[in-house]
Amino acid sequence: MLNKPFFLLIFSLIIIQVIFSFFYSSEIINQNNLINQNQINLQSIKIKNQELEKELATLSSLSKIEATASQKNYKNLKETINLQN
Amino acid sequence: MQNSRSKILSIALTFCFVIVSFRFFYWQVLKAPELKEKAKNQTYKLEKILPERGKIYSSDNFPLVLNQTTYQLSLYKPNFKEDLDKILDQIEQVCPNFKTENSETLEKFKNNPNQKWITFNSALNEEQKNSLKISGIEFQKIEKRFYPENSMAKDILGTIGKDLSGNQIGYGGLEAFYQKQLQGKTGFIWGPQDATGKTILNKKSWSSDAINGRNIFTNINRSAQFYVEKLLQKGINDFSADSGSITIIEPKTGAIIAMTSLTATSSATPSSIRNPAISDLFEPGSIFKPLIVSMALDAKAIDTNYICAKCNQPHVIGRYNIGNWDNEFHANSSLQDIIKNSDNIGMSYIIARLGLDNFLNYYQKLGLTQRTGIDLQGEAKPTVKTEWPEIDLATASFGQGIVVTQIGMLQAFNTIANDGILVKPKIVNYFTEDNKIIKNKNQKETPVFNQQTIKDIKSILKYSVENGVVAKMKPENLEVCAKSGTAQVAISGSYENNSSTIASYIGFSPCYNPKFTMIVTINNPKTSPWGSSTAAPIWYELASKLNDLL
Repeated sequence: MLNKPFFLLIFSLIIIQVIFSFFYSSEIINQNNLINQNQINLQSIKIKNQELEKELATLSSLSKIEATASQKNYKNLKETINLQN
Repeated sequence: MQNSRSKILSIALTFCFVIVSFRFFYWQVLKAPELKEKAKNQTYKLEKILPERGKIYSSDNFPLVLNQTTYQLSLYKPNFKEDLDKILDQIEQVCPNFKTENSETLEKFKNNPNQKWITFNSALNEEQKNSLKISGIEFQKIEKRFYPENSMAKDILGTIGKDLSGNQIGYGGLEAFYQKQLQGKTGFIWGPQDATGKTILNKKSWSSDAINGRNIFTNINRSAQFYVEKLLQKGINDFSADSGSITIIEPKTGAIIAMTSLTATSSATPSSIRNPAISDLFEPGSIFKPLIVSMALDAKAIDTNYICAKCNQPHVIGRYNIGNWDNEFHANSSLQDIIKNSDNIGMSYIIARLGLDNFLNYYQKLGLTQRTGIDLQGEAKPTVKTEWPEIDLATASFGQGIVVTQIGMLQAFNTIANDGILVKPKIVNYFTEDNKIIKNKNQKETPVFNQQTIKDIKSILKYSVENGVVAKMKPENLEVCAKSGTAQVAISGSYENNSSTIASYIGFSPCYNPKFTMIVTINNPKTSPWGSSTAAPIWYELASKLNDLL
């Protein structure tokens, strides 16, 4: 007679433990996935930042300016600016 | 009968139970530490977090070296879900010219059914990589250096490569000299991994953050460096020279404003790890004369009223005759005229008055017996003679028979510009780490010449420029204290008449409170061997630019 409640108690404890461990481990996995995703995003932003920095530096480099600007169109400013006033 | 059977069974069961218990004890207690370790190794993993290598900037905070993450593309046939040609078309859409660039290797890959894997050299960026999520395409991440100004300052910057363990390491220039500061510190995560191999961060994980490398902020003036490289290349071509070097220093601080070495067929790629301005030794020739005159004035071996009474004939020392570069004699030359005419005979008499001990004492004080200690890898140590016969001392007075690096010569000559105080040359101004500025230690300043000596030698140099052969090159608005030099290159210890020359020009501007000290060295110019007609025009063209820039 005593065996039945004891068996039920043990059984329900096992069920609770299994549910709890499922919940807890899925929480860990979710958190971990979130961390991994954030790390991927951070890495991607870092690389985008690198690309932008590279692009900005290339566009404002002296070698780029020299290659794109035609020297013969330059006029000596000291000679051409006439300050009337 | 039944009793005995059950007894035997009980004994057998007990015996088995004892054996199993012992086995459990063996595995669970005695072998526990070893098995725990094995289990950890299977479920735990160590992940490296690579730091970002430090960047290098010019004095106007413009990046000369940046980092670039690229991806190397590979194809793996067994994972293909569509035809190879279709995959290649998709790659071509994202990376134009991919097929043309890799036509040969692609052809071999297509025709060889046994070849399952191929890796291409083309470097793809993040965006291109993300647009190619196709089965059978794999990517490998590669960290590279990017040079926004292309090959500018390549000798200063150095390059990076891999050591025997596959780690990124600097070779030459700043990359090698400041390897420790630039590389940063690798971080780690040690913890259990999930089924996909990703690290699970929990209480049992251990991690250490990566520390990015320090950024380097140099003293290099980008505009000056740009002009220096342009004009040196033009000069090498115009004078049909083999190569040349230019270094410019800020007189008060020793900050290197620009430095370059180019050859007639200069490479456009920043891969050089050898910097001739610091690693090549040469005989300085007549640019050394102002230093000898300064030594003699400072030691009071002569004064400014010195007259060379014996300059009307060659100076005979044993079986050697010392003559002048133009085979002329300048009788009763004053100190100013000895420098103006670059008179070897007059100089040989001045060094005789100075004496060997005084000469060696000043030679050492001017830092010419050792490396300057510039913060670049590969500086050569000058060799110094141990025996000094009279003729060697005489030839040293006009810079022959002694060897220096270009940076060593500039450091010594800059002592005149910097009111007699020797300062060490330096490329780096400061570092940054997590936005914190870290300054290099202040370097020791060594007084070499007294103020009167400096006043006298500056006046002599100014006179020499304004009345010498270079006077017509000097722009009117510039005040210049400088000296030209032409050194013959010794072949097997002797100077042949048709041997090549090293033409140089060294000086500073203005003479008082100078903005810069600059040395130009042209190796083996064929249009004219003289420093005054090859190195000097480059020096003055650059000086005009620097006058506006600095």
